[in-house]
Amino acid sequence: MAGEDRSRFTDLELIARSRAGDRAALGELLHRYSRWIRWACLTATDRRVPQVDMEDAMAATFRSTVRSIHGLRATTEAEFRAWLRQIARNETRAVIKPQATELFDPMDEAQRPDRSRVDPSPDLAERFADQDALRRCLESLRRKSVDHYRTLILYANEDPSSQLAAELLSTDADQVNASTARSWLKRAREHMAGCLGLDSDDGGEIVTLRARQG
Amino acid sequence: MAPARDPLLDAVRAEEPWPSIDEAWLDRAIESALESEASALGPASRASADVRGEPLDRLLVAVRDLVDEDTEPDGGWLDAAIAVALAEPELGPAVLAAAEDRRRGDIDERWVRMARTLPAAAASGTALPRAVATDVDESVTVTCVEDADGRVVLRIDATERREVLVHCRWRIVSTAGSRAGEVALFTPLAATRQGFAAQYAIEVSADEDIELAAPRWALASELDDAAVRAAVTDAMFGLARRAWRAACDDGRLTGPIRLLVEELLSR
Repeated sequence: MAGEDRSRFTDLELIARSRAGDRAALGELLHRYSRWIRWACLTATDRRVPQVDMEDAMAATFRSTVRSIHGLRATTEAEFRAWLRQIARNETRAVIKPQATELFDPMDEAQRPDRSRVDPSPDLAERFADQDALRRCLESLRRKSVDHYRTLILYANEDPSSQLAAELLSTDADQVNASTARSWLKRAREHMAGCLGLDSDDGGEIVTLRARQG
Repeated sequence: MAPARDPLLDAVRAEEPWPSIDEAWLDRAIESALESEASALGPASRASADVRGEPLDRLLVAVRDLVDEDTEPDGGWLDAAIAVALAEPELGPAVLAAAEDRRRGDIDERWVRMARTLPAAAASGTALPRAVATDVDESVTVTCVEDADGRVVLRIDATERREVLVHCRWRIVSTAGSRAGEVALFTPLAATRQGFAAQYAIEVSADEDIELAAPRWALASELDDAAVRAAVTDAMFGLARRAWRAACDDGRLTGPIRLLVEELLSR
């Protein structure tokens, strides 16, 4: 089937062809899902993923997908995405190793953001220009809830639909639905607003805590 | 209509921007993946891989029989896998061995995770770890968890999946002061291949904090002699300290194991 235009195939058709050994179809499928794989890699851990690690994780995901495609049993796109997401997570976690030792005490005062350093000025542009404060608040959010942290970072970088966010934030142990994803975003934003010293009268566009409707 | 700008998300985006994706790199990476696997899996190696995959495939068929056609893979498959593992615990090593051979495909990894987490989950319920410590090479992890009976136990996971002797120090801190201790645990091969972890109970109340030092460990690969292995296993659990000493004295324990054991005996 040399020269066949595989871009006209649906995802399910490409999946079926890939499983049957059509490598060009698999290449098209990987291209089509490359953005998805990137999302999955970047939401796989509670840590920031540097560019070089992200590339390693994606490349490893491609290789693992090629290696495993013959055993894929997915018959729906949702099953395929779940399968692909798991591969991406496994590979990313293999690349992004956990810290050697982490004895984190969530009640440790030294780990808390220094609220006294938060500028009480209502000028939002100035507030967000204080990258140290923002960084401390992000870290405190990560320590408080990895789920909320990942949700905030996901929305900040990709602005996905709630349904897409839910898929990316799901794990084998916990299936996240769109409502939960929106709730996590709301809580993350509330934490950040509180940590940054923003209250309900401080910047209407902040406290509306926009959550996209799926 | 474009969504309204959100200064908070903008600020977070500026602080933690995701790495961009380069289309040319993407093309090369996909091409490389397709090519490398094509060359790596020639007819002979592919046949070998298929043979190694047989146990896993059989198990997957068995699991599939337990799963409704419409079940989503993430939840249903895992539940079914756990059900199989509970009903047929002897399948665990075969699952893990097959999964290890095939390395990190999705189903494979699910089996690995299931096999690793099942005993720990059964032992610890869903309680979050009280403390975690990993050695500098990230080969051995000691986790402090509560088990189903409310006991606080130290659990060891070894990525080497070989016999490992682990030594870990702990310290419990409370308003009344602190107390410390140490423990040596031995994780036998079969146990680690099933994801088992040696466990050691310590007395910690809910309002006390526990700290774990980075564990030290040594492979027990030189323990070929079954009697020595049994003696060391007993010794590690504090059952036969004399056997431990004897194994050191008569030269049956050598290498890093001996150094570690002698260090412990000297305390």
